[in-house]
Amino acid sequence: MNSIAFIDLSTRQVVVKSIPEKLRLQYLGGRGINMYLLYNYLKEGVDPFSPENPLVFGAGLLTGTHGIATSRFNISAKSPESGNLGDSNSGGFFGPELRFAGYDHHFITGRSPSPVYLWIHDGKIEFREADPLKDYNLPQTLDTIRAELGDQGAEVAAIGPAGRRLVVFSNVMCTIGNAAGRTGMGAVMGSKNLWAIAVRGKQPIEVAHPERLLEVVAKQYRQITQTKGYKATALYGTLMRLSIARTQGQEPAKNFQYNMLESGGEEFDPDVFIRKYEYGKMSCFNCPVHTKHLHRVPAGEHKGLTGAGPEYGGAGYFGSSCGTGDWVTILECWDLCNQYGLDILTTAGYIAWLMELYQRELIDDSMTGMPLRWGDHDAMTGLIHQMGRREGFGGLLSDGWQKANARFFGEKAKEYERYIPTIKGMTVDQDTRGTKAMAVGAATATRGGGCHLRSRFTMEEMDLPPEATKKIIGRPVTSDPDSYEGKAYPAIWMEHLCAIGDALGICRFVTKWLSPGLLGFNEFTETVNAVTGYDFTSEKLMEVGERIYNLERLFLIREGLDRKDDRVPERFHEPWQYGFQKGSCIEKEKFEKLLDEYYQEHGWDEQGIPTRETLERLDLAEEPSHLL
Amino acid sequence: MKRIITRAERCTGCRLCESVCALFNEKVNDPSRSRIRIVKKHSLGLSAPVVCHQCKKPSCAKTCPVEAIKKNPDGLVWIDQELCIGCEACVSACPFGMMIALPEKVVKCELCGGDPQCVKYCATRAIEYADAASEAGEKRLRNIASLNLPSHFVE
Repeated sequence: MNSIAFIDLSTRQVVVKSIPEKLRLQYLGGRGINMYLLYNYLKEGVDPFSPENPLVFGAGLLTGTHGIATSRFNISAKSPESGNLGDSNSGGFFGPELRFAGYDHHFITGRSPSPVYLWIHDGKIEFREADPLKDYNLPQTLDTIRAELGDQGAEVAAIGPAGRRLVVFSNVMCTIGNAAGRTGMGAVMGSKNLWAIAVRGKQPIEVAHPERLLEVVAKQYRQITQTKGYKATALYGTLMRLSIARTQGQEPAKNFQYNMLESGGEEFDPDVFIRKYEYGKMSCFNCPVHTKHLHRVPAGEHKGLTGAGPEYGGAGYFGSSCGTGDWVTILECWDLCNQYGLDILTTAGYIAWLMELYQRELIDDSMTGMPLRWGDHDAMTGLIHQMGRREGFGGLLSDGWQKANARFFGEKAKEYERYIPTIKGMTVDQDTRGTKAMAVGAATATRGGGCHLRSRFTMEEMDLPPEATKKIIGRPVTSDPDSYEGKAYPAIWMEHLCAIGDALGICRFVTKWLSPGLLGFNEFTETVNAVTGYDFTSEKLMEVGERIYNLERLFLIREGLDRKDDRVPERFHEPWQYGFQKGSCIEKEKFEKLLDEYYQEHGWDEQGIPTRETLERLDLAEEPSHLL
Repeated sequence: MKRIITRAERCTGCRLCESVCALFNEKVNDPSRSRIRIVKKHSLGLSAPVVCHQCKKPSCAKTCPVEAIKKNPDGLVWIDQELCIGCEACVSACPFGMMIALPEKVVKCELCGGDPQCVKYCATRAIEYADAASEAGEKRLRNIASLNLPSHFVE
């Protein structure tokens, strides 16, 4: 326990190092220590598919401990999808078992000469032949490995056929419904011939104050399950967002061309989904919110199709963004992606892009081999098969949208970039035109796609009076989501909350990221101190969050990014057409002013580079410091 | 008598029950030391809780060569750890697999001294501290739900 296993796949050498207390105090664990390791070990200019790209699996400091939703782990590396920071987070049970198996982080380098999977159990690390898995899809891979190891209690994180083929937006999954989706970590595993990691163990995680922890967790359990929103969250899971997006007029429709799908229909509703297709709910480790939907298609061409999902991203982006409200189409696309091991958001984003190009007659049947009309089920599933197999027209996207765009349009490629809404190289996961704090948080997010999990100040659209936000985050914020005023600080506050959540291994859905009544810095502090015996305060924790975020910023700068990359997609400068925020958009001048304010609040210069003073305050001035 | 009753169709597999059981009873953070267990069918995402039934004629007690397992008047079946030699005969005897063999001893669910912790963390009531018979009346009532007044009473 409290150690990192450094595993070289080329030589099969393993070195185990203890995590120094300084690293725990400054970065906690999970995403925090992953980022530290990546920044220190990754050399400039490394190809994401080379053996030199370090792949880091990291469980949070609280992952696996008695607590609420203490399930999560991060996978980090240089990303083949964005070309910059690769970092993906997942729930399920792999994170906790990773720790019970004896280590907190796996730092993996090299490339195995033949396909392998790691079998890590009670401290022992074995390399097992993975080639027999080559014909299996991702869920089959999970089952087969468990069966082969003879242990149904083993947890497995694996790639599917797409990851084995190095499709740049391949994911890693550890249950039928939990994925480390974005930034192509599955492809990095594929490039290392590492097809899975299986973990199992009975190594206890030390708790400094067990009685205190029991009390703290009892309190938090009541806090979470007694909030007004708990019943709805427990019923709808992330599909809650579907209804909210529709009523607020934020439904991404036809590749973000519109903010509502007129033809969406009454069926495109989470209640319909639950009634017709859901057969149960699945939880992650230690979580009473159980948001994962277990679905089965009961009749028709796809009768008997089962899977876990969809999440809001799948429903919204295979749904309205691809011009359909048909659940069977959405479920089939979702399940196909999970079978191949393809990231849902990127896959759906690419399909919507292609449909828009087809709509604008910039690509045609002679290129695509099939009509790509909005909402066409056969087109959508056909493209997923092609992307996952690197075949046909869809296969042209397997190396990412930039290469496909260049290939389609040559000289006009740059001009036509505006048809695919991206931030920092990846398709976006939210439309932030009507919420300015979310917009600046997305534009500057240290993970591509304007990642809503890096910073999404959800309180912005809850119509909270400024006195209320002052109580929660320390400063009053106008209740008008369209206003730019004072929106930098809340975006940054949320960055810290998200970074700490990931460093601890706690799921967003039990925190103030979702709703003001849920867990925040005070609760995190109580739990951390009970488990570790440390003396954190909320302020000290916030500073850790700030440190992690600044280190990620340094990573991006080292990869050549700066102010020019902190932007919303061009399309977001055009106004919304529908709903009560009709007319909302991001105005360029006002956004630049907000960005200036954001940099100032962060202690960065006008290019968004952390100043020497900021780095010294956060003890980052000597990075890379090579503490390990 | 009250014991932990289970309703598998409600279990979401979160394992908070295992987590609190291990920490409360063994004072360590290690769910493999839990006295309640969740079993899973991974391919369908389904789970079910399994826990000691506090049997009226406990196979574990019958099998114990040193009579370390006792049944109280209130129904609780418990292991006298002073007498237990750790032979694990009870582990084989229990039809539910709920005698828990740890490296240094054998343990079982003893209802946390009368205030079971696990049930407090089950959001879906897939486990509950109750008398299984308490549901019997409700189930019997369901059988008359479909009955109506005889037709010749209706205008």
